[in-house]
Parts: sequence; structure tokens; C-alpha cells
Amino acid sequence: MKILNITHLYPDLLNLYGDRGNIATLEKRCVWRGIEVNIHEVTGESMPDLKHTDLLFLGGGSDREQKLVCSKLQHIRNEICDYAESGGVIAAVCGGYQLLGNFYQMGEETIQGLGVLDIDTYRGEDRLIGNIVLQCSIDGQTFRVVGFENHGGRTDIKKETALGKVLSGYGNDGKSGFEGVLKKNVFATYLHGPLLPKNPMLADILLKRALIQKYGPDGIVGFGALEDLLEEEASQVMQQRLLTRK
Amino acid sequence: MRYFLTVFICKCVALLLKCMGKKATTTPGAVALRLYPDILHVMAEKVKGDILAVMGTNGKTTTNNLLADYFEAEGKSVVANRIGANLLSGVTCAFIQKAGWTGKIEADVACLEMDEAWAKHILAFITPTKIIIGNLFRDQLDRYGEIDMTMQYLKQAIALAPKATLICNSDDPLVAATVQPFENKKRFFGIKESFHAYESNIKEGKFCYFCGRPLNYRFYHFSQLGDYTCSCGFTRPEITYNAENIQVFPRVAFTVTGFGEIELNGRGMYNIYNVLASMAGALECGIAFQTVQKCTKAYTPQIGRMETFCIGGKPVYLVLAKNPAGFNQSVSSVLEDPRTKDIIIAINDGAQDGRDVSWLWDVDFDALVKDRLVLSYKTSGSRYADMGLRLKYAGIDAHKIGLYSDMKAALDAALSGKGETLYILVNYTALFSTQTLLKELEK
Repeated sequence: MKILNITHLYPDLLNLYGDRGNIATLEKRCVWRGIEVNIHEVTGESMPDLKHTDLLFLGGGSDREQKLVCSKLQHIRNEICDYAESGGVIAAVCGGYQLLGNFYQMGEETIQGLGVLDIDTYRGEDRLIGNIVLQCSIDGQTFRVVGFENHGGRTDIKKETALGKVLSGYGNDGKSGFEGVLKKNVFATYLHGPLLPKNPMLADILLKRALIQKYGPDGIVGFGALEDLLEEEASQVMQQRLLTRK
Repeated sequence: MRYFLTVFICKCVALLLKCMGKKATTTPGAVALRLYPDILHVMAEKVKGDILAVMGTNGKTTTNNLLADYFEAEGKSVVANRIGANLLSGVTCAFIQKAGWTGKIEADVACLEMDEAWAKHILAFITPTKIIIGNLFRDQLDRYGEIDMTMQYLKQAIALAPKATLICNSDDPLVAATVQPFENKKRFFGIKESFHAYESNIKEGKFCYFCGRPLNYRFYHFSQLGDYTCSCGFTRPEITYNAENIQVFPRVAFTVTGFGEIELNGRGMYNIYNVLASMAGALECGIAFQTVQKCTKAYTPQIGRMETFCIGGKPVYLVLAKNPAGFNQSVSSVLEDPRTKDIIIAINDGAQDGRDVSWLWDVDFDALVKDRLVLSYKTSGSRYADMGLRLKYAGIDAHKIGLYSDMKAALDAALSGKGETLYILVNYTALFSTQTLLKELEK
């Protein structure tokens, strides 16, 4: 039986937008396929065990809490960079996305990020808030991703590759037309909260990449499709609302 | 002259709106502010006695209505925004409704609930003698950004009323931290001892606001409410008005230490705090405890606050919840009921609901799903599919979740369900339309 170890970083601090839904999705979609899954919640003063992590999840928090997490993770900055560099899977959402970069601005402060991604986040005038639809092409599949964004930061992804193209919404900086970053197995996005429940394609790509990273190409043998009718309906309702209006 | 003219015009507007079948709880106020920006100040000056401002995320409307009831029971003339229109326009409208056609206001007291973000704008015109703060939960994040910002808004509002007595929930560390820097006279209400073991997943104030370290809890009542201390010295403030010997079903009942028994014609343990908040405010204004006892017993829940209907012999409960804390409380109220039940959950994402429904994943629906007394689930509202998906992940077979974009169809199906009762959990904009449907069905 295959086993995936999912490490959830600081859910006690980064839990602003229902990130529990993302973890539940990863967990259930493994269980439904007969893959054993262990969720390690790293809380308080403890540090993640990256050697025994197959998928690292980083959620969103308030400014204050995001800063606390960032300062904790600075102690293992090199380990996190090595983990990402060697193909470790990371899913980072909202604030978690920002702190993977070189720096991000918060109010008058500039906070050093972890440098996993070569991106810079500047403070914007207004917050960019609303429903968003992306077009993604990953691992030979083209699909739409639906979510909600709420961020004050404008992220310049420079030479990094975006996660998707914005069909409706703001994205990284509200004008480039792109959203998030996909670098090796690092998936970073402003789409917060229940991103994965409603976007099972993306959830499965994360799981498959984690299985391949751990078990090699055979890791995804028998990784079958699940019934996602409810997921599709939820996604379609929003796509129709946002895309047919224009 | 401008004042009289403004009041007159706005009363005409209100009358016109009412003839059109509208509720007229904000528009006349908005018109008044346009015609005469200082009108709220002028009208508030005419209040002879106390002005009470009710703030906090959940329970404002219940708290404010109870307060108004107490004063009215003692023969006072009260200005109150009872329906819960709590922005600048809604508060102004409450005064216009109270004013005569000539602009005369005969008011002894004003009981005004205020939206947290709007409070500082409202207090620019009105100086309250008492400020009541019930709780601070995560609410409508896309509007407020986050809870830190709400605390800042409240501080800005309190700073405008240095003479007001602050009447606050001691069990909420976020409320206690908000008022700590102020020199105002303070009175705290709370529940000193644990009365049941309810563990919720959302604990908003886990960390000390002042030093950032985790708070130490002796116990939680629900969400972040409980008995907390921090190594930096921040601790639960001393309670003046304490509830003990608590019961929550079939109705809320408890003893106020040193005063006597309270029985509320209503359910939901969150109502203990609403009663304590209103009672503390009233007693600080000189209302007799017996008046509080009488009014809580006779209390009629507002629309959607466990509002009861009887349709074809089946009791139907309409429950409003706007955020995770409110929803968890609604869920626990459903669990308190020992009868079998069908459930409809309707989620809209209109501007007043908050367009972001991510918070659904912070609600402990898993507790609901484990309850064998719940016989069927239906979802409705503009985000019916998101709600359905949430239930799927809480452990309900996806094929057994009834998805209805239309509430009428959901109601028709649920009413023929096998449950002895029907619970309908809705968020804000789904409330009024559902209530209208239920009233028609009740006929």
C-alpha cells in the first residue's frame, strides 16, 4: 500500500480562509483511492520534518500571523529550498505564496521571504478581491480552476512560470493576466481556502506528482478517476456566472 | 428650518416606501444624511437619557432588542434600530421613525446596534453613554480584511466616547484586548465556570494580542470564548455579571450570580451572552433586575433567530448564521434538539453575505453529519453546489445530498421528509425570501 505524508504548516496560525478544506480534499482523495495518508500538523514552536514529507502545505493567515510563520521558517530556509529544488511538492496559498518569494511588503515593512521562488511582492493601493477563473495547462491536461482571491500584495513573478492564465479576476498583480507560480513541484497561488475541493484536477496533479516523486513513475499506476459530479457543478456555476456575462 | 424640512421629507419617503411594501429601514436615513449631513447629531442631542451603542460580530440585534424591551417595559420612550439596519443610514432612520412630522423627538433612551466598521462614523455624530461589545468573530472577510482591522475600527470608535462605560464580554480575549488600553469605566459580563464540553475547531484568539504567545485556556465555552491567561499578564478580566446553573434546552435558563434566575423564551447557548450583555447594559442604566426577568421570558425572537413555523403540523425552524462562529452555534442548537429532523442549508454570496464562501470549510459540519437524528440534507442558495460539496467532504454520500438552486423546491421536498422537525439554516440574504415562503406555507 502506498503512503503519502502530508505536512500542514502552522494551521494554528495560517487558517484564515478555510484551508482545512484543502487538506481534507488531499486526504479524502487519497483515502478514496486506497492510498494511506498521514497528516502532520506542525504547530506552536515545532518544526516540520521535511525528510518525511511528501507534500508540504502552506495556507493563508492575517498579516501578523503570516509574519510569525515567516520568521519561524527562516530557521529552516535552506532545508525548504533544498526540498523544493530536489522536486519536493509544495502547495502554497495566499500568504503562503507570498512568503515563498524573495520578499513581501506589509504596511511600511519589507519582510524577507524564504527565496524558494524568485518573485517579489509589493504592496498595492487596494485589495484585489473577488471570484476568479484560471485556465491551466499542466501535465498535458488543460482545465479551468475556480477560486476566490483577496490580497493587498502585487506579485511580480519575473521569469518564473505562472500557474495559470486569468480568464476572469485579478491574478498576481491585477494586470499581467497571469496567476500564481508553478516551478518544478511548487504550486503557489493567491486562490485561497477551498481551492482544492472545487478543483479536483489540480488536487490530483498534486497527489500524482507527490507519488511520482516518492515512488517513481510507477507511483501512479492504479491512480484512477473519481466521481466529481458535485465538484464539476460547483465549478460550472461560478464559470457560467463569471465568463458568460462578458 | 432645514431640520424640520429634512425630517418631513424623509418621513414622506418612509411612508411612500411602506405603501410600496418596502421595509424603509435605511433609505429615509440615507436621504436625510444627503439633505442635512449633521441631522443625526441634532436628533441624538434630543435624547434625554442614556444612549447605548451595541457592537460585536454576532448577537447585536438580539441584544439591542432585549435592551429596548427593558426600557420600554419601564415606560421609557426608546429610539432603536430593531430590525438590525446598523450602518449610518439605518441608525439615522431609527431617529427619523421616532420623530414626529414636525421633527419633534420625545425620547428618553436610544438603543442602537452598530456595524463594527461603521461605528466610528456613527460616533462622530452621537456620543453614547454606554458601549456594549459582545464578541469578535471572523465575519465577511472580503469586506473587513481580517479581525485585526475590526479591532482597530472598534478602538477608533471607543476613542470618540471617553466618558462612555464599556460593557464587555470578559470571556472573549479579542474583546478584552480591544478595550484594555482605554481608561473608560468598564464592566464585564461572562460565564466563570465551564458548563459543557463543546470543542469547536475555530478559535480565533488563540494567541495573545499583546505578546503573540499562545493563550493558556482553562476551558472553552465555544470558539475562542473561555477562561484564558497569558504569561505576559494578559488575562480574563474580572466578571461583574456572571451566569451559572446553565440550561440550553428546551430553552435558555440560568442564574445571574447575586441577582436571580433568568429564563429566555429562546434557544441557543450564544443567547446566554446576548442576555448577559443586554442585562449588564440595562442594570448599569438603573433598570430593575425584575424587568429583565419579565422581558426575557416574554421575548419574541427576531426573524431567523430560531424563528418557529408550523407547517402541516411539523415544527419548522429558521436559523440565521452569517459566519463560522454563528454557524457552529446553529449546528449545536440543532444537535440539542432530541427529535429527528430534515435539514436545508442555504448559502448565498450577495454583497451583504460576503462574496467569499471559504468560511464554510471552517464550520464544524462533521458534528452534524455524525448525528443520526438528521435524516436528510438539502442545499440551496446561489452557492448550493459549494455547500453540497462541503457536506460531501463532511462525510455525506454525494448522491444523498439534495441540490436545489430554488428554495421553494427544496422546501416542498424537505417538508415531505420523514423528520419530526425541519431545520433551515440560512445566511443573510437568503433569510427574508425564505421567511416569506415559510409564512405563505404556514397559511
